[in-house]
Amino acid sequence: METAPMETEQRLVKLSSSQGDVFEVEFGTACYADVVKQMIDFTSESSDAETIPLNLKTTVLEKVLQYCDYHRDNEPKEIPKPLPTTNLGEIVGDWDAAFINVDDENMLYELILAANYLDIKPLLDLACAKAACAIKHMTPDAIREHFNLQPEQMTPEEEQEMLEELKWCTDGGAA
Amino acid sequence: MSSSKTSSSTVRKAAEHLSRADTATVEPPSKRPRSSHPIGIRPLGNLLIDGGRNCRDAGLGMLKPLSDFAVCTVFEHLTCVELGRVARVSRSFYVFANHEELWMQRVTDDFRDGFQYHKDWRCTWLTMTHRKGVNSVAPASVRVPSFYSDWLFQRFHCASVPLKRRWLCTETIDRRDAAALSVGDSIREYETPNVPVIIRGVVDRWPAYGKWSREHLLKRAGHVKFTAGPVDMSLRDFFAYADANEDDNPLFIFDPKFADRAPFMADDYTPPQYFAEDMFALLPQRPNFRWLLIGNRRSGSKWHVDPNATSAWNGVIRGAKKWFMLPPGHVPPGVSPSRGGAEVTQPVSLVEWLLNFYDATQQADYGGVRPLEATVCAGELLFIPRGWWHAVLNLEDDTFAITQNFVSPRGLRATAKFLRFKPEQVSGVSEGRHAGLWMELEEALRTHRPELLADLSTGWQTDGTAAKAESARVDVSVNGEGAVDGRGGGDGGSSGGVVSVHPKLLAMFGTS
Repeated sequence: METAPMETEQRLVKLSSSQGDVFEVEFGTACYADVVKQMIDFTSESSDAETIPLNLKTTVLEKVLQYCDYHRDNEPKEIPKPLPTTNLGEIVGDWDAAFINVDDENMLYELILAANYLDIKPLLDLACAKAACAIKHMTPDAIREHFNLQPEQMTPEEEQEMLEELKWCTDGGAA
Repeated sequence: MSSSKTSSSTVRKAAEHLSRADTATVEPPSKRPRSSHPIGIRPLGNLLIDGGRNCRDAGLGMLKPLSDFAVCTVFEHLTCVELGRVARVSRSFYVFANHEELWMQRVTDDFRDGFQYHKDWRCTWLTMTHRKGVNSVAPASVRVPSFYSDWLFQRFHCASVPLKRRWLCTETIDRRDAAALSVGDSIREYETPNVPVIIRGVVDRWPAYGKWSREHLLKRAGHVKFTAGPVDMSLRDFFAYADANEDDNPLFIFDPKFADRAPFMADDYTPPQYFAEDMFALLPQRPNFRWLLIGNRRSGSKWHVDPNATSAWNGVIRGAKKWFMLPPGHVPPGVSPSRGGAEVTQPVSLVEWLLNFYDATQQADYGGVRPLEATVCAGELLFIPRGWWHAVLNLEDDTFAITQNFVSPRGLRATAKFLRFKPEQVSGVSEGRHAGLWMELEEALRTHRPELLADLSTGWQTDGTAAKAESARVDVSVNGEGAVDGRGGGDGGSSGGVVSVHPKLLAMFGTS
């Protein structure tokens, strides 16, 4: 059936970033991402020492592996939808909140892409929750500015129709 | 080969479905599918033809590299009021904030005790929460030109694509008349070899047959709440939803407590004599074993294997059900069970599966085992052997059925093995009872059927040979092209090993 626990524990796997940097990680960490596990299963049939190339920047891969390493033995908390608060620490705990509190917003989107690509659902949820926190209390104008949106102009009629349709949430709303 | 046993009236009934499916008026006029998306989303391929720009990216700014799925996951974390607010940001935000899946989730989360469906899921939420201007609540109506997305279009597409004739026309499951099928025959020919059969002349003797109409059920139980997916809703509200929804995977009633909630229903049917023995009935507290099924056309169950390694029968009282079935261990294409089999990943709806994977199974060079298929009509009963993968699509509005799962002496070994070795996957019992269910059953057998228990204890502790045979992994010949390997997903993890093929099964697949 499965490989004996001792053996898997000690086994190391090599993963490389799109920039060619190679990370040597424990089998259990790499396999937290099911997609990576499938790749390992696939390649290990041919050669044991092969490096698995992943289409992720070095900084992103490092971050993803950090997440996998921590959560392989600590099941991540389920994030309620919609978010009851923007204080993520209350929901997911200190480690996850600190982990996802990245300085560079682009890193957040890279993590969403990576979680999507590697099919790591709890990381996807965590990163998307973080992105949602930014949007939650912003006005439409603030969102346009924040996300650097250059949407096509709507006609005044369209704008009016949309406002009319969305009246239910703007009467007395924050926007 | 099954056609030789198929009565002409059944053939005629099946043919009716075909001719209807083949015409443009396959849907009742009241709910004929729209020909274009309500706010104008188009599949990505159209972008090439139209040659314009996709307004998606400009309207998402920094979020544009994210997949549509990821953007929706971000939006899932917003409250409904926040969704309403961000809808004004851009056309893209408007499209995502109006995604019906998000609103369906909100309604079924916020109104678990029932709701009155109103026009669409967003309108339902607004109406149920008594938002201002409730009278003017209308579906999203601002047309968004040049928004292209396969992912967002898919839901609409699967809900509205006409059911194809080729999905409905294959009949490869045996049909037998109860008058000419003794209990012994049934055990010998179907239960023991673990193959499906449709039996006529059972359900049409139930009081429910002919009597159960929508009007009858509404009169007797219109206010009674039944379980439909994540919610409990009154039958009256359910029918209103079923008629009005435009979902790709519509909710249907699947209720294990129907006999408590509407006792007359339990009096209106009798379990068939063929499948009368249930070892679970010996337990002081029987796990969930029977379900009421009510759904409109296009609702149904996606691919799954029944719980606790039980077999089942499904009697159609009204309407018709299209079945797809694959033997144990033969995972359908496009479906992936998790290691151990606790969860199954597959397309969102059965129609999506049909669109993307069914045709592959019909190709001449298809390497796998083809699904067995049948349209089970009102008055007929299907035997679903343990371990078989199956998926079901209701073909008519007001399709009513009763299904019951059981563990006969023939299936006892498989179920005992499941309870012992996969206690975490045991279902149908209250929390905390999973791990102990095997011991409960062992105790009950010791008291009531000691001979079965003695029989059970021989073999399975030795070397797993019996277990291997019992896992019912079969190698069957397809189109006479030789054996096909049993693929993963079986319950033993054993691979290889020579498993004999019952001639019955071989014959069934040989004709496909």
